[in-house]
Parts: sequence; C-alpha cells; structure tokens
Amino acid sequence: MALEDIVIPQVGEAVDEVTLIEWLKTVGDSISEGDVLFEVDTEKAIVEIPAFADGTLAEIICGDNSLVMPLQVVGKLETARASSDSAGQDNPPADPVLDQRPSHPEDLATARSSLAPSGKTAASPRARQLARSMSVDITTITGSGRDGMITESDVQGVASSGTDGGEASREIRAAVARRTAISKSTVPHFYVEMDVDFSTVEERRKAMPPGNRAPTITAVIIDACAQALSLVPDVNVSFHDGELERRSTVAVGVSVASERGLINVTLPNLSGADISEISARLAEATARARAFQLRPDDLEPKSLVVSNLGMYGVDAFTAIIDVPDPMILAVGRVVPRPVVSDDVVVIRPMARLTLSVDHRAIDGEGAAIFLGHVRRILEGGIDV
Amino acid sequence: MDESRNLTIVQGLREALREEMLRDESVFVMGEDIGIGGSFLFTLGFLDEFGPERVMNTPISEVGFVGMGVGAAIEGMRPVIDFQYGDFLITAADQVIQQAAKLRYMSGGQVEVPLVFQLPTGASGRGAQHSNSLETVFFGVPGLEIVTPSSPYDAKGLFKSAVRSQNPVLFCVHKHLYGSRGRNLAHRDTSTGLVPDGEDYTIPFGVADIKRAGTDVTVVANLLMLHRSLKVASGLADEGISVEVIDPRTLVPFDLDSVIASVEKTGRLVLVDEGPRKGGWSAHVAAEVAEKGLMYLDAPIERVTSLDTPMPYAPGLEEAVVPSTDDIEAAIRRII
Amino acid sequence: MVLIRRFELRVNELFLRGLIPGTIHLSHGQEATAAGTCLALETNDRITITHRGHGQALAKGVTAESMMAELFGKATGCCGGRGGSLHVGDMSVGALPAIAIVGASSPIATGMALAYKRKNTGQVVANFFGDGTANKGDWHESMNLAAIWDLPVVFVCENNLWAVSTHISDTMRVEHVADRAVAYGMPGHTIDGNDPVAVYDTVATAVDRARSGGGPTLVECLTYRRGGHKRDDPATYRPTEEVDAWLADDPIERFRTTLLNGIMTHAQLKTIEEDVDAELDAAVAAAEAAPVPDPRTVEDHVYG
Repeated sequence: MALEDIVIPQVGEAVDEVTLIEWLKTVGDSISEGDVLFEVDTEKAIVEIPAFADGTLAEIICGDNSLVMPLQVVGKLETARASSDSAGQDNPPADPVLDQRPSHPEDLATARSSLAPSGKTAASPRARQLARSMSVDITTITGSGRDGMITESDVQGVASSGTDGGEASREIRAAVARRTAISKSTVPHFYVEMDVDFSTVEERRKAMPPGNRAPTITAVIIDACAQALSLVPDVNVSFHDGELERRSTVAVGVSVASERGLINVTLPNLSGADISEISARLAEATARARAFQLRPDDLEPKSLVVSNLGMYGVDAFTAIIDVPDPMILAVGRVVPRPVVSDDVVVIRPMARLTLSVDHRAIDGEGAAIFLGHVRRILEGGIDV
Repeated sequence: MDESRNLTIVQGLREALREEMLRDESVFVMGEDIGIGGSFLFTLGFLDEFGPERVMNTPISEVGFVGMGVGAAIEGMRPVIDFQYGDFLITAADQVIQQAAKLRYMSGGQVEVPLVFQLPTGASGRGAQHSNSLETVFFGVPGLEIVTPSSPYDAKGLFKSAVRSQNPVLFCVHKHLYGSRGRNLAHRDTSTGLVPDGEDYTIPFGVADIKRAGTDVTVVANLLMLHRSLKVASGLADEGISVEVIDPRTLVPFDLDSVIASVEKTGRLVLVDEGPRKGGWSAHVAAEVAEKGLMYLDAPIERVTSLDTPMPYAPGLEEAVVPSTDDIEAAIRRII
Repeated sequence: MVLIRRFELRVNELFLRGLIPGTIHLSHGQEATAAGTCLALETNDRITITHRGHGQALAKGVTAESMMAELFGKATGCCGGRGGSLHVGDMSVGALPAIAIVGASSPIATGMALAYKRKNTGQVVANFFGDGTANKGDWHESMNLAAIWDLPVVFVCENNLWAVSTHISDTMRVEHVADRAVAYGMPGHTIDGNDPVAVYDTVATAVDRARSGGGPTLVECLTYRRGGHKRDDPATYRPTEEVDAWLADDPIERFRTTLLNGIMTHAQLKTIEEDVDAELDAAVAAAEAAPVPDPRTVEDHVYG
C-alpha cells in the first residue's frame, strides 16, 4: 500500500493558476483509474481531472473553490502499489512550490500566487473602488493583472458587457481579453499570405463514397498543416519563457466559437492520423469545447492554431497568436475567383490563407516554406 | 542656449562651483587631493584660479575637515567639501548625523549649517567599500537635504541651489555619470546634455522632473537607474507600452505630489533605486504612495533595487546585485 | 564661580525634586577652569561647550534664567526647549550650544577658527573638552588641522582625571594631556585648573597668540568634579584618598581665601552670594512660570 500525491496536472502551458472547482469524490471513496476526481477551471475551460490509479481517496488537502498551481498537491490517494515504487510517507516528495521559491526577491512574483489564501479575491484598490462605485460584485471577475489581480480595466470590461452572458462567459471574455492583449503587446507578429486553389480538395470531397460524411474544410486544412509541420521541423516548435524548443510530436489547434466564448482546442499527436481520424477527433473536440467540458490534453500546447471564418463569408483576416503557440492560420472563405493558369484566365475555387507568426520563434523563410507546403498539399502537389 | 555647450555632469558641476565662488566670497572648497582636481576632477583648475585659501587641500582627516566645515558654516562661511568617494563620509558620520543635521534644531534655530558635500555614489566595479549608495545610508536623517542629479543641466542648477541652501546638503553623483576624463561614462546619449550659462540659473529643491511622459506606468528612478529606465521606456514604446519616467532630482525634500499625480494617471508605479532593498528612498516612497495614493493603484507597487548584500567585486557579481535594464523591464511587464 | 557652584547645587536639588526632566552632568568643582578661561575671552569670541557644560556657559555669559528655563524644557529656554542640559548655549554671548558627543566639538571649533581667519575678524574660539576626549581621533585630527593652518583656537582640557569610571592612568601612556601638543607642533601647558588666576593667565596668553596669527595652544587644566559623572552616578570607583584630597582643595574656598587677603571683604563676598541666590530664585521662578513649547512648533528649525 502506498499513499500517493494527487497533484494538479499541467493543464495548458501558460497556465500558472487555476481554480479547483469541485471534488466529485469524497474521502473514503473507492476509486478506479480514470474516474474523474475533481474539476478545475483554467479560465479557458472546465477540465476534468481523472484518477491515475485504483485506490481509495485518503485525503483532500485543497477543498472546493481553491486557487491552486500546477503540480500542487491537492489530495492523497491510497493505492495498492508497493510504497517503494512511489514517494511514500517515509520519503515525502519535495514540495514543488517550496523548491521553486527563488532567493531573488524580484522573482517573488512568480511564487506569490501560491501564497495567496484560497478563495480570496485579489483586486487592485483602484479596481475595488470602481467596482464599489458601479455596484459590481468583484468576486465574479477574473483578473488580468499581476498574479491574476483584478484591475480597473477588468471591472470596466464587466461593467460594459452588461448582464447577458453570465459569469462563465465573462470569465472567458476576460481571459481572451488578457491573452490577446498580452500577445499583441509582447509578441512580434509577422504575416505571410497565400491564395490556395481548392479545386483538388473540392473534387476529393465530392468523390467521397455515398454515406460517408465529407471532411470539413477545417479538417482538410488541419490535415494539411499536420503534414506540413512534419515536413518543416523548423516551425514545429514552442516558444515559452524565452526558450525555443522543437516539438517531437505534431499538434494542431482549432479555434472553436462556443456559446461562452472563443476556445482553442488542441488535437495532439497527429502524426500518422488520416483525414477520417482527424475529422472524427475534430468533431469530438469541438463538441467538448462547446459543452465546456474539456479534457487536460485538449489544452496542450501546439505549434499552430487554425482559425476558419470562411463560413461567415470572410474573404481574409489576420489572427492574433495564441501565446505560447507560435503560429495561427487564418482561413477565409473558398470562393470562385478568376486566376491565371498557363496564360489563360480560369475560374477556380480559391481561399486566402493568412499565417500569423511569432518572429521570436520562427523566421520568414521557415514560415514561407511551411505555408508553401500547406498550399501544395491542399492543391494536390504533394502526394503524402 | 549655445549648441556647443553640450556638457558632462562634472563640467556642469565645475561651472556651478566656479560661478558660486565668484559670486560669493564665503564659498570655499576643501577635500583630499583637490589641488589636482580631486578624484573625479570636480575642482580641476580651481587651485590656480582661486588659490589655496579657497581651495583647501586637506590631510586624510575626514572627521576633522568635515567638522571644520560644520564650524566654518556656523560662522558664516559656505564650505563645499569634496569627497574622493562618498563612502569615506561614513568615517565622519557623527559630524553629519549628530552635528551638521542637528545643530540648527537643538540650538532652537540659533545656528545654521550651510554646507555642501560633493559625494561620488553607487557601484562602479570597485568592490564593497567604494560602492555605497550614500543617498540611502543618510536618507533617514532629519536635517539633511539629499540631491541626486542625473543630467548636466540638473547637476548645475541643483548644485548652485545646494551652495545657496541654508542646510547641510549631500550632493550625490553616480560614479558612472560624471564624465570625468579617463572615467567610464554610462549612457552618454542621455547623461550628457545642454547646460545654460549664467549665475541666475538654479533649480529649486523638491521639484521632480518628468524625463519622459507616458500613460501606462509610472517609473521613478534617479542617478544611473534613471538612464537605465529611460532606455527600457524607449524599448517598450516600440511595443506600444507608454512609460512615464520621473526623476525626483532631490530625495530630501521629495516631490511626492508629482509622483502621486502621475500614479493617478497611470495606476501603476515602479520604483528603481540602486540602493539595497531595505530602507532608502524607494521604500519610503512606496509607503507614502500606499498611504496617500492607494486608491489610484491598479497594480501592486514594484520596487527594483540592489540586493541586500555588500557589493561584490567580480563584474558578473556586481551586475547580479545592481538592477539591470532587464530587471526594470521585467518589473514593468509584471504589472502591465 | 559662585554662580556656577550655586547653579549646579540648585539644579541638583530641582532634579531630585523631579522638576527637571532628562539627565544632568554637574560641573561643581570645575568652576575655576570655566571662569578663568572665559574671562580671557572677549564677548564676540566663542566657546564650544561640553556635556558637562553649565559652568562653561554661565562663565561665557549665558544667563541663569535662560539656562534654567532650558533645563526645565520651557519655551523661554536658551534653545527654546529643544536642547536641554546637554545642549545649553547662546550664540549672542559667543556660546555655541553644547555638543554632547565627546570629541565632536574639536573639529567644529577648528572650523569656526578657520572662518575667523578667512574673514579676518580677529575672533578666537576656546574649545572645552575633557581628558576622555584626548583619546578620540576627532580631537587628534583637529589638533593637527588647527596647527597646520595656524588657526585661532585654544584647546582647553578640563582634566578631572576620570572619564566616567576610567582613570586617565589607564588610558594614556604620557603623563599629561598637554604632552601631546608637541606631536602637532603647538605649545602645550599643564596648569592648576582650580586656580582661576592661573587659568586666566595661561589662556589669555594663548588667546593673544591665536588672535595675532600664532596658531593654536593646548591648555590642560587639572581639576576635579565634586560629584559623579551624572546625577545617578555615586562615583564609588574613585579612591577615598583621592576624593578627600581634591575636595579639600576646593577652588571656591581657595579663591575666597585669596580674595579675603586684602582684595575683597566678607561683606562684599556675602553680597555676591546674596545676589547669586536672588538671581537663581528669580531664574527658577521664571522657569516654573514659563510656558512649555507649543507642540505645533516641534518641526520648526529642522530646515532653514
């Protein structure tokens, strides 16, 4: 028998603080591996955290509605595994928070959030004063300031959004506001555009056997992007805290407009996945996002997000990078356009793809090669 | 203003002292090795112009000649005491803290001590005993005025005000900012500048100067840290972050009103101070803003200071102790 | 001298009755040094005063009334109640308010002398200090600086043999403080500090020398405090034989005998004593009646 730590997993790379919303099990409950133990709110989504082994829930350290950090121990699970296999009570694991506490006082901010009393709303005096004057309940607001502190603009955002939407959408709105503002102000964006001929895609979609549902444009583009990422390892990277790392796997995200706001869902491990698998996984992930019931791996980092507004009749747009993911591909509508082919003007189903790139991670050449591959794959020029 | 009069701080100080000595017979300067200009060439050429009675080269007797400055000031002279390194003033701390700063008060206003100390301050690669931030060491002493100029324009105008002050003044200049011949001059682009001519030009104490206007965050910095902050502000402007940089210019008296007015506008405050983290002007200002301007704050106050260590010698270690542009930028980003 | 003696005894009594706050360092027994020195000075000459400075201040002309009020902590005191016993003085009679840190007044006096020399005012400053000061670096630096620049300062040592509880024989290898003058190239004299005439003669010579540009002199006056270091010090560390011998050689009794030897009459001396008592009665009454300082003025005089 061993008493093992239940920790908050890394739900998304740039997440430094989450709320443990509710334990779905109580102490003494018998647990099977995979049972959902509790839910956490990452500002982007509600994520269910499953048990990693069979056993009995021995202790709940952080109760419902606790502010917690990734890797923080929130409970104990008594398992049947031999204690020598794990860090048992005789040899307790190092406290990740304490171990990471810096000696340099300037770095205290990074440790500070772990010291915040759970359930206490951190808001600037300026924000509190404004909230009081506007009769806004400050505890319903998600902060965008240092360590998640609620700032004046957060209060203004809530006040201007009125009453429609409810708390969750306000929180997503605030999260989107914060993340896009950080991205736009701190990430040096550059853009690469290409017009892509979708004739081949259209032909293949029409050629699908009857009864099979044709893959969506979004799925086709995700498929092309996944293949291109494998071909151009220089752009299959992550850039976080100033560190550039190549990814060993291919993951592509997709922007999903849920009722509660915009969520970028990850489709991890796309190497070897064919279009039908991608279509199926895309449909499931989209459904989870719209239901606001995401799994931890739905929020994993990725090299690229696909954002398709073609269905709304948008010709072209530029998207804001979702930090720390280094690229986002904005997809416009597929529409018949005159193009010159072999010195003859012909009509082809065309779409404008606009790639936003984090210049800290990726150079123009890499981005151009990557987008060129995406185009050739879509146009049938590369037979993968 | 003549474009050719682009001066360094030590040149501005020299002009100020010369003009004051020509204006007022009671002004004289004393200190170690000042016959050859002193450590930072503050008095270069003064012995020839004014003679040994007004340019007094002293033995290595800091308590003795600082006390003499106090006594001469009591009797109507206006001594300027030049220090090779401000650090050496600490050996005469009793004369500064117990005598110069208090005689007016404990005599019920019977005597005044108009006395100026010219003090090279801050870290400059010389290890622990030649790197004190004197403005921090003496900050909490009532009765002293403390001046920390960052530009030649300010240095000249403030020095003339210091000589004319009726109080003891610690005039602290960062060792990297003098621009003395043969010495390292940091941030030459912002630490040299145009300086007006003429003895009517003075800058009053207790008036901060907004060195760069901005709307998103208020940075208050002095001495070398002012120039580092200006550099950071310039870089952040390219990202659309608008930083207001305020130079308090004098720490005692301190222009708190200007800082609070700026914080009212920006909602955010970063204090950059080369002194150690404990004590000093930035701790005081943080407390004052928390008391008097709390409701303007939209983020925690950030302080960027040196670490609480003696100053190490190795260049890499000194850099680790003293706030860098990266430290300043990170502090701003934490609350933007 | 009678004024000093009776002032100190009166202060002691008032202190014991709880009318004077703080602490006091009494100078009774050392009257002849203060009186002889100040008699050798002009009104516009200056003195610097020690922590045991009531006698020095009175000798220079600070009034008993303004000092008593200061000791009472009253607004009418010579320093407006901001100084107290440790900082008595009155610049209008040439008495720089006392500097209570041992040794710190020597460089200040030297600097005052520098100002007189630069401005050619002909003034002289007498720097009072004790035997304990002679071991302070401040004092040594001042002696040297005054000597190398020929400044008009007279260093007057009140050598009462004891720095609080430490005897001078434990702190100096030379026999006399004045022996140290030679190290700085100035004259040094060791004299009977309980003889006001000897003190006057020696200091007057030193003042003349200083005023004429001859530079500083060190005058060591051998004397004795009749009480402890301060009010709560019984001074039991002093050997009985030493105490008895010095108390028997009381400067006031000795000078009284000298004066009665054909210079003054009993009646004249009695008149002096009665005048002094009346002056002190008036000073105490005025101090008791005087207003306390207005707390709203507490920040006055920090800066000018």
